[in-house]
Amino acid sequence: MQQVNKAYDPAPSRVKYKLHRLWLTPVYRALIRTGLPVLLIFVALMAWLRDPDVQQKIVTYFENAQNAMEERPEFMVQQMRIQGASEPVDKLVRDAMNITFPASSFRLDLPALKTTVEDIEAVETVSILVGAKGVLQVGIVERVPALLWRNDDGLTLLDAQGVVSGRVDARQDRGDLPLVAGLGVEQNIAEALEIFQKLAPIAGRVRGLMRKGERRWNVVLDRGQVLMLPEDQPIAALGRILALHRAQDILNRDILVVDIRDGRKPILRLSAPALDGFKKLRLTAAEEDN
Amino acid sequence: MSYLYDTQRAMRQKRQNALQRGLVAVLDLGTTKMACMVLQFDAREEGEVRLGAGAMTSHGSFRVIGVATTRSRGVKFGEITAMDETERAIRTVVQGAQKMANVRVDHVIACLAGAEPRSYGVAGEIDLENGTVTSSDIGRVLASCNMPDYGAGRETIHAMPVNFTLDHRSGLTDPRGQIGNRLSVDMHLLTVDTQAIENLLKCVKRCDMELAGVASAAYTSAISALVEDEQELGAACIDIGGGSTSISVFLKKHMIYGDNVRMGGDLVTSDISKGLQMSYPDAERIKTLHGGVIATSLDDREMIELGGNTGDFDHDRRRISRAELIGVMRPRLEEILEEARKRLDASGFDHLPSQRIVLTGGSSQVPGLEGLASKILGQNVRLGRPMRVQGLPQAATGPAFASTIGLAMHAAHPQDECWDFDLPIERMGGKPLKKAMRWFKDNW
Repeated sequence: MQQVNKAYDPAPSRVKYKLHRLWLTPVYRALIRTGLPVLLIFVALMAWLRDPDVQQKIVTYFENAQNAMEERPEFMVQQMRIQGASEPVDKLVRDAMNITFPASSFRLDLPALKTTVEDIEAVETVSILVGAKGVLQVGIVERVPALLWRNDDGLTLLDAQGVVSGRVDARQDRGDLPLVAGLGVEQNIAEALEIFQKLAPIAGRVRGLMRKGERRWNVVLDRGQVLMLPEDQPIAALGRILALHRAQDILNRDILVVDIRDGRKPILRLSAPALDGFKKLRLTAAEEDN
Repeated sequence: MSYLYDTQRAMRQKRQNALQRGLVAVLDLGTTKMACMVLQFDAREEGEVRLGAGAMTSHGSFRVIGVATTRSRGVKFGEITAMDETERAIRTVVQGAQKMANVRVDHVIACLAGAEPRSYGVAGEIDLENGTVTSSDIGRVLASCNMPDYGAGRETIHAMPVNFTLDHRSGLTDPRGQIGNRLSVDMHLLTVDTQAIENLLKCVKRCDMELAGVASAAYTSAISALVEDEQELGAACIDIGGGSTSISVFLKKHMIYGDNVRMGGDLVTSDISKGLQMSYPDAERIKTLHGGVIATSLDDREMIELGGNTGDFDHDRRRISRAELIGVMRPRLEEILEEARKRLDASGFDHLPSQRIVLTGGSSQVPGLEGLASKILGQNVRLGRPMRVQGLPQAATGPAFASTIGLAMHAAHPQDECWDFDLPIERMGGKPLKKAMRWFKDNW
């Protein structure tokens, strides 16, 4: 028996046909297949990110992640080992660096620490590195003080290059170092050291060196004796005085000043009693002669 | 003549533009089925050499990337009778082909079986100006053809110069550069009803596509069903379709005659349906499964279940012998072939050097038709299948697709290059500026 079927039309409707053609157009196809999903995801992402809570969460998350990474035990610095520094310098360095341990090696600014440490007067050079087992190794080369300089600010230590390498409160603190005084000492440290070397035979009597008028040296001995050295070739002049001392023991005599500023011949200034005595002697000698 | 020139060139230009984009659809509007193929033109072979004026246009090889067929609707005798129905069928078939090809096609070349094609042979003759045939001389001789009065409401869809004669030498395909005094041309015109073309144009436009060319099914099925030497030496192609039978005669690779008989396989089906009192679809099924034209004694014993859905047991359980079925089919097929014979006789087919007849089209698949045809049309009959085309699915290679495949080949290798030649100045009509431009182009 024949069935009554609804007529089936295989033809696509005009709208369907046009949509199909649109779909086959490469531009639309790309737009729908990639452009639209990308746009949707982008919009959704933006909507989500607009929430300040979310932003805060994201920031916190990444900070936590960074902290967790930095604070792994492998990267932590537990202690500091300072090598080559004396007790007081060690203390100074520790105070200057001011690190609370344990600290992450990511947060240590080694170049900045290096400059900080190098700013300390007593330190000549420093090398800082994070060594094995979380030890911050600080290698220090101290300045070796060569002289004690008395100036308006007090007593200052100078090394052989004339760089300030520390301060002392009293002369007795560094009795081993020779003392210099006066302005313009820093530039002539080498000369001063040479003079001190030359003065070795009478080292026990030397009180110090005094820079005069920023151009020449006075050697101050005990008993207020002064050796006035010339501007040029003070060493040779000093040698001459010392030769004189060796020959005639002049420095043990009652002489106030040995003035060799002209470089060739020393002029001796006697103390007042000595001068009186000398005059008396000369008078006596004259009387005897007469 | 100027009008013909303009329309032919416009058509050619349109097709070239469509091919330039590399994708074009061919649409065969048949009476029983519609077929659409999406062609992809890619490898353009530069050095391709072909006979005739073909080297000027080498739309290299093409590939079929989408095929769809559907039952035809709204088409009778190869003409559109119901626009809406036809549009729906076109939509179905185009969408199917696009879906398979996965591309969108905007240009379509269609072929029509019906629309009363009429053939005209026209001739033109000129004196050569400087003793050598130049391309403008070809334009001139084409323009000198006196047009037959084919009446109002007719449109030329094919106009091909078949033969050039230079002085006493005939049979030239490309006389350019040759020396002579008088050049004459024989041209074949095929005109169809303007209305049929306009209907087709409208249907295609309503499907959002542009009609880039129209061809006659008589021409296209011959292109694909005739082999090259048949086309060269002379042959007739009879495409027995569902609603109409297209007849074309080829000589020297050009169509010299095209006609259409408004009878086809549908008529055979309706004969069966009427004669054996059965529904049209059942008749179609029996025709295709058991049909034949030559009865043998075995056929008397082979009983065919007619089937049916009326509910009347006796009616639905009828059986006939195959000989009876053949008895119904044979007279109608004879009639079709005789009609074709008449048309061929009228065309002067008898005078061709070779009288090969090739049967193609869906209805040519009736077993034994070849033998019947040789009795009516002459001894030299063969069944033709369309040529193989790259990318074509197996299902679309049968003789029913001859005109579709021919249309694709026509799109790839059109034979109307001659219309590229410029029209001589004196025939161009009143366009002074254009004339001046031409004069400069020719003389500088």
